[in-house]
Amino acid sequence: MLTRITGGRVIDPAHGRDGVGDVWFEDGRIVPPPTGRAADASYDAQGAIVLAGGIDIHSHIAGSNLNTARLLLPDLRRDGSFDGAPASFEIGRLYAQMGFSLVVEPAISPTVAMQAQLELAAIPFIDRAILAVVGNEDFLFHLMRADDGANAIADYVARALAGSRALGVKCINPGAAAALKANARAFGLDDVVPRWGFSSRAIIHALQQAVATTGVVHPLHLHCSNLGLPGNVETALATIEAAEGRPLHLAHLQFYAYGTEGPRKFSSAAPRLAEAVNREKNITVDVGQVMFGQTVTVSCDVLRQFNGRHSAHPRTWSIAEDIGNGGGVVPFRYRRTSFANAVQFAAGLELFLLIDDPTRVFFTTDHPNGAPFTTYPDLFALLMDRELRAQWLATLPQEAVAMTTLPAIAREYTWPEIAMMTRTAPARLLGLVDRGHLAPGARADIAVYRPQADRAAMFRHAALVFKDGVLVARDGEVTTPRFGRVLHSSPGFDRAIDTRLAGFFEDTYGVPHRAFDVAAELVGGTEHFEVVPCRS
Amino acid sequence: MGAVVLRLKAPPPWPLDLAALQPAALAGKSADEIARMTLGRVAVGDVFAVSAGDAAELVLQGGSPLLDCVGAGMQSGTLLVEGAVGALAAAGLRGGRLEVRGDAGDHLGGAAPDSRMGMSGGVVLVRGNAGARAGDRMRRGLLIVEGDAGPEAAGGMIAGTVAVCGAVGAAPGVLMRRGTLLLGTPAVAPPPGFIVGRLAGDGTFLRLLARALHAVSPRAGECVAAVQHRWLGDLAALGKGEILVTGGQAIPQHQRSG
Amino acid sequence: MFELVDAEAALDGRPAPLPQGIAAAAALLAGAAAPVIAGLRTDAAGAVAAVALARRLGAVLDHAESEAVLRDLDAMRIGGWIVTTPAQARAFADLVLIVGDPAPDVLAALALERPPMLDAEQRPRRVLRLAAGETLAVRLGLLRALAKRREVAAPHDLVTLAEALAGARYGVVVWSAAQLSSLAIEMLCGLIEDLSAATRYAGLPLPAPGNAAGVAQALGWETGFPFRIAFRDGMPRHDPVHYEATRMVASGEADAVLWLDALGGGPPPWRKQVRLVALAPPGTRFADPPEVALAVGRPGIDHAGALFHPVAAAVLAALPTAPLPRPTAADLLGRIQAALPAC
Repeated sequence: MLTRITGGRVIDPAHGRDGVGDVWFEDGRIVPPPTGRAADASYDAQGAIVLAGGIDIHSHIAGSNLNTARLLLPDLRRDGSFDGAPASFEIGRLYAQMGFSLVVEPAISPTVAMQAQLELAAIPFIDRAILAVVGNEDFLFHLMRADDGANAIADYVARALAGSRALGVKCINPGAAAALKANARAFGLDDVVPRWGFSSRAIIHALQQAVATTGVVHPLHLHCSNLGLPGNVETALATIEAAEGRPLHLAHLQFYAYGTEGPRKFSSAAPRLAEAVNREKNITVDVGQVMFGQTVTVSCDVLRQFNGRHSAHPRTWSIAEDIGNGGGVVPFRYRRTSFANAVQFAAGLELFLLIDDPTRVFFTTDHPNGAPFTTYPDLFALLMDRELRAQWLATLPQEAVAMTTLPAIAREYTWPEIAMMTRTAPARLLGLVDRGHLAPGARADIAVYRPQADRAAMFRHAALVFKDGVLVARDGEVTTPRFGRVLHSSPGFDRAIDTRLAGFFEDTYGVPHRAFDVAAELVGGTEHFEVVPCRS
Repeated sequence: MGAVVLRLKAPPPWPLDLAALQPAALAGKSADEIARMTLGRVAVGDVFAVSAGDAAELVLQGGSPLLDCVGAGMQSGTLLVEGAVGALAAAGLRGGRLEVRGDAGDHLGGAAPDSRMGMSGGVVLVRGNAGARAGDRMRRGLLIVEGDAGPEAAGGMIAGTVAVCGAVGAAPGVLMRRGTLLLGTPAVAPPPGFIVGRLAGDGTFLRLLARALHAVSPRAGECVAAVQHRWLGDLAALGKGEILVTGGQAIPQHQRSG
Repeated sequence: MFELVDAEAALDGRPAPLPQGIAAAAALLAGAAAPVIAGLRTDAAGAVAAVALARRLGAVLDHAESEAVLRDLDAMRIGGWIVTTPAQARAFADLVLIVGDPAPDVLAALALERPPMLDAEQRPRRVLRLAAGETLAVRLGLLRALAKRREVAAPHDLVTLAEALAGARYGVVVWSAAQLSSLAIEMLCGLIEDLSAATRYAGLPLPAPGNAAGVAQALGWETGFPFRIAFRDGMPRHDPVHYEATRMVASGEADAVLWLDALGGGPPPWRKQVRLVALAPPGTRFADPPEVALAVGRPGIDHAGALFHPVAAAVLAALPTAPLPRPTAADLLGRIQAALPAC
């Protein structure tokens, strides 16, 4: 069916397009304006904004940690107001309503990938992908010590991607989970894993090299050490330096943007971080914006969650260790009246506004850690409207606001910058050639927003949302559920790594390593998946 | 018009969750509206004869151990049951007053299913006995059982007052963090996890407690007058709770409440 | 006594073709005022299909072993917990405290007779035991007080145990919720928390049979809640007290049950007559023939399924050991749902 969206302001930064015009699609793909054929269906977008479907590169939408959050907090969900851990179906519905077409779950240990893939299979409307977590397994340390370390680690990483059906590689506080098992309660970039002697820095280097060797497009996606601690800007700056010019993605940078100035020894150091990101072009970041309200923190940074469990609100938690990272679930309420939470809120916005290249900074709230993803509409509105920011800031403790530069920042995101940050750039960062833009050949993943005084309302309920050319949401109401695809990489590797894994796993853990592999036939078969090519 | 009155027509067919029958919510509704409210598979009118009223007062005439969650989550008003109630009466109760002229089941004044907090305000008086875990994880308020209570009374209590005039089952006050558990049956040794503490010198606190309890239940007030021991615990938890116990021998008259 | 033999379906004990069995099941469930889907011994796909059917019917969902799972979940919800997996315990634990008598299979996977595989010094493990029983919660309370270094009168054996526990580098406490009271589990979680102030401890709650943990996970992502869920107007409500299948059958509140037992755990535990659709593997014996019995394949034996792996403590793919072309639970539930009259 040939479909035409007419008369909207079409913004496609990938091709320098920003102007009133039409978008045509047929059989799930964007097509050039046909000559001599009339559209079978036509949608009027006059006065509206037409973008490609939104892409969220870092949102915890699946996996046993998130599911534990669901089972831990039934009481919070009883009145329907808590979006920290919606059921899978609701995740798809809520994202589709906002005009999103792809969401990446960034923290799945290969040992729990099967469940994560089952959960992804239950999320309708959108495409999904996971990143596989490595960096705290004794098997990796074992390889780092081996003579053929570098090649073996690349094989191991590729094998982990294959077993998990993952798109890319995530590393979460490398070494810290292993150190916690030996009763370490703190772990920085140059601390070493007991018994093995490897530092966090060494693990990052090894994995950066492995990702490059595999040809996976998405760079190593790193959750640094010392998350949330006052003064941790030094850790983030040192980590940026440690990348030595190689591609590195730093996740939820806001949680590392803290100095130790001021009366409470807690201040925003976002300007320093933004400056470093502006300078180092190999670095991409997502923000992990904090928004106020009840949420739940869900993380494979088990050391951080272990240390933070007593700040839980409500007072309950689950810390679950495993043979790799493990994870922790700690509910938390960000309060407008809290000095620290106000600084966090401002520091996130400072990063957004002070990092000048919208191709290297990504909107996230690190759902649900900074806030549920359902707060994105408010976040986008804040980025686009200086006056709105001033209104929010006026409600916060002024001594906290004074610890930030936010009041002085005049920048407002333009529509092309929003389109770049939420569509074009994430597609490129993930290595997707047919998503995130509107040129012929792209998937017909399209979101149409109708501008209105309340920008957040506009972003919350897109006027029209198409996924693969099918209308899936209109003015905030979804249509009959359909399912998108699960994206993954499939780099080659030397099968000899299986022999080594088999020996290690069966003796050490009493479980064959193959038992953890995702069985495609249990999650919709091969058609359910889409392979994203690696660099050759 | 006054109170809303629901008269039990026949024993309920199966356990019913009565949490929806809140005094404040029923006030001003017509008898028909109330009768049409559903309790799972049955309508209120199938089980109760309804007499409407305009005050935030609800009277349940006739009781049954199959009436669960009576007054659960209640925030205001008064609820009087002329008979027994089942499990989870006053669970998560936040305000108002519940009186049961009969026995109550397990988790009286405890946490509602799915919730981690017991009652957090209000007054609950049970004239008969209560089941296990009365006052479980209670945060505030006053809970009086004039008869006996089952095991683990005031377990995990955070604050507030629980009084059991009769006998109490095993492990009273287990995992108590703060708060007061008054036991009206004489005992000599503290339960595990509790240590012997001192009774406050001039008895001011006990006099105040006695007055507060006497206003709700003279019997509970008299138990305070007979208090001889103060035990502190549970040392497995925060350990700042207290169990006040009668020693079987009343303290002198002049220390009693007026 | 009725035994489901190798027929596709049986109606009141008489073999019938499968389409007839499906139609009869759909008619029975559609006509019920308060249907319950119970047993739920199935794989993830079966659980997902059961949720869909329950949503459509407005039915209650409960698992045969839900009591034990909910006890563990309650302990987690009330005060938080620190837990680990058997695989991790096998590799790291230098001290293992076994509470009660957990099933031997997972204990065997811990290889307690060997030193922890990833321990640098390869010192033998200390294995300690604590008997379950009525006084367990009280004894654990005293252990907690001792672990907090409080002055408390405690029997000598507990004092010795507390000293031993404090000496571990990575201690693991093993229990099966089916054997312990809620209070005892809460105490164990608290003890682990207390010991974690100075050294490392983690709990190892062993999974209940019948893939209860796996089904709880599946219900979690499908509905946001574990079992004892009722659907009203398509929305799930969770109530561990009022949506207990056994209680609903005993009281007469439930007027029809779909008993789902793809893992061969046996017939329903109740004696009372209730209209029954049973999905069970051939060979299952019932005291009386169910109104509708459908033969179902066993995940991990007859067909591939996602099941909670007791040693990995994760939902993993279980490949068939002897594939048979029997319908899966998800197939049958889907066909029953498709055969329901349009609403």
